[in-house]
Amino acid sequence: MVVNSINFWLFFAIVLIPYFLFFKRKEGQNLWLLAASYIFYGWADWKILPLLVAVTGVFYALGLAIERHNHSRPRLASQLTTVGVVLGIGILFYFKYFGFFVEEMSALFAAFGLPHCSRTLNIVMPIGISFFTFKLMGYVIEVHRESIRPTRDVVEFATFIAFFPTILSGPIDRASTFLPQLGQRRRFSESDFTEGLKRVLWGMFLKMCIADVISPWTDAVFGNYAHHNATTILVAAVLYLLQLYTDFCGFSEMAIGVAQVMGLRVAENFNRPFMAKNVAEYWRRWHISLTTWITDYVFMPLNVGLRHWGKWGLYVATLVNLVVIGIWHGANWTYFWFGVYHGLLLVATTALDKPRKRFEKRHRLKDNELYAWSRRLLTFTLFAFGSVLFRSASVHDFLGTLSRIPHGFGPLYSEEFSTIVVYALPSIAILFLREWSAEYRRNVHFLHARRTWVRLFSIALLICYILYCGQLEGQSFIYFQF
Amino acid sequence: MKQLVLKSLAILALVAAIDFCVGAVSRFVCTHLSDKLSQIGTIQQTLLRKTGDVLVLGASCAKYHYDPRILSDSLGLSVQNCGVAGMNMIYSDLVMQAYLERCHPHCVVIDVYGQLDPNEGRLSRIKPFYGISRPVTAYFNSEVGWQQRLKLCSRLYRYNGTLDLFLRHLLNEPNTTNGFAAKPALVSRMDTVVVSHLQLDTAKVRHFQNVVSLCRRHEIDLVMVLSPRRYHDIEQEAWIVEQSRRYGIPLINELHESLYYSEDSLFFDDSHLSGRGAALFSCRVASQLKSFLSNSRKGTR
Repeated sequence: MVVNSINFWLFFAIVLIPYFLFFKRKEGQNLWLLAASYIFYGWADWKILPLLVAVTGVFYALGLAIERHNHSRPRLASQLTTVGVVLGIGILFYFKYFGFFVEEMSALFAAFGLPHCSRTLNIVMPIGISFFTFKLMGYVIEVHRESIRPTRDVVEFATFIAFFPTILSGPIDRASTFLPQLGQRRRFSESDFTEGLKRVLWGMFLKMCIADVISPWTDAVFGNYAHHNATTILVAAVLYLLQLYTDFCGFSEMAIGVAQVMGLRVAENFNRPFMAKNVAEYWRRWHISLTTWITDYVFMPLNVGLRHWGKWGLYVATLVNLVVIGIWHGANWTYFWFGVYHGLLLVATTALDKPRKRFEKRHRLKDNELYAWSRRLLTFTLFAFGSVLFRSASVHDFLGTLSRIPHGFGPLYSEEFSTIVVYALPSIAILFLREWSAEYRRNVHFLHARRTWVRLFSIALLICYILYCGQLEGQSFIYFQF
Repeated sequence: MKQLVLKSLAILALVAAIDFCVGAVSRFVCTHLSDKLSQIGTIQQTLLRKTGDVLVLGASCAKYHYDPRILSDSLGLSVQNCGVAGMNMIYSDLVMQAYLERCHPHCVVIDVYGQLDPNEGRLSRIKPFYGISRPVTAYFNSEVGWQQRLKLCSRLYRYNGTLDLFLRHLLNEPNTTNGFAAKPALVSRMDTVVVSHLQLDTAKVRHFQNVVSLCRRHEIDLVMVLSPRRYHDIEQEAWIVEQSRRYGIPLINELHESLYYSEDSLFFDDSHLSGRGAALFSCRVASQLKSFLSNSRKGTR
């Protein structure tokens, strides 16, 4: 059930009406929400539902046990936290990486002429596993750090883990912000309802009018890279980055909007990444819920541990941080190298920070708009290059795609490109206008105009624009595979 | 709450008004397109306007392989190429029904290969003709799911994706070839690939059977053709041969004719002939068609 389908909206209506009308207590609302979340998840993959229920139960018990022993037996509490983290990583490793690991080991053994098993393990990866295991691990770590108190209400905890708008593709919520909301009764609020629906509408626009319009063309180029020239590859790299952003940001906007309609706030995932002036800033604005999670639970402990190495410790922690973000996406060497590439970019950005500031001071460039935009363009270009690595099915494909660039420029692959010119480019212009206006705090964003009639007219126009120019056949989201 | 309801109603009214206006303009454009070789132009002319004694039905192979001028010269009948790239058997059936509402063709030539795959193709491109063409309207009303029918209530949805088709139509050449488009010759060498993985869509098979029964009911000669191709599925070929036997439909099988494979320049890609290849193909099909038709007339007499 994709968020941009009629089925989802029927399901949502069935969930929403009793949620506000019939349940006058938080317990009832939570139970209803949990039932809806399990039905939603079961709809996507019912065979994995028992796993979700079981790990939820285990982590709920772990949370309570860690709190009980945090003061009396701190060593045991630490061990229980370790059990939780190892269990989370273990589940993730088994379902997501084990098959790949076995295949790679097998290939390595074969390369050395050692006996090996050439069978492929067909382990079905549960949908949304990377998202809910991170929520579970974050929960036990926070309980151990005493940042939060574990909830006694198992329904509340299970609702937090399985919350249907976010279980398939995030944002990865934190217990510290989400559980207190479940601890209160949610009342219908007009402002939440309208703002939530506006976000859903914007998310639909991103997904249907940009990502899904671009994707057939980029798929045709990357799926057949050997037949394309440098012009086509470079345009495809730029368009793929836009596709990736609008696909994932579109989903996040819809998930956040749906949650807001139900009176719940979930973590933000994007903050205008294309307005970032350097790689570090870009990562602070891109997939925020994941980057902050990994910063808190991987980077910070590592950075503290490597403090005695000085700036080299920071560089190593940065590199490891980005590699973890890379391999979080999946079991493929392309994600590993994607992480390494961005790690090195981030290390270079950190190392060059002081010289850059000196340069800007000397040439009085701090408030120079042209300089700011050239930095944004450079950052965008670096990420567009990285997106080719992200898109490639293997490192061999990535190198094959790159090898087309020295073959020279030529005419752009024009099959169906008119669709991009007619539909995607105006939509991209609207997206950039919105991002630019929000970045520079200029209130030209029509959905939030001060005058009511402008707002209503803008909403109606956007609905019509999606209906007329969008890809309406409900394609799946890129991040569902992670 | 009252305000929220009022605002929602205002938005709905605005959407309905825009939907009506854009729909009316798009409908007008759709029904008044000039006769050009563009995709939407060909669909419109095929569903609403054209007539012919011989119809060529199919997808891209039909469009790029059958030159009606050659067929017409040889048969002495008017020939209309109704092929549209990316279409399938459902489209062929709808075209057949639409033609029967306007005229009574003598013969239907159908290039079946690849038209029965489960692949949806570009069938959604006929959406703009919902409410305009009777067979298209009947198809959507009876064969698609309720969600699709609900979406079709919106004219914006019906004309979704037509803007670039209209623009491309403006830039396209006038149709002086009765629907045929010649492809350029192949640049690089291509090998012949034979595979075996037949996948049939039961709905499309039903539409194929409907074309057969329509032809029988209206006493129209039906001829099946297998075009030459460098990438072909032997199971699909066997299925087509079997259908030809089963229904007693003459089959012109050019798939294994070595003439086409002797020269690379006769192909555009692995599934389509170039302009030169199409000329050769049309000549050969025309001569075989002529003998089929004369035999059929003798049989009738």
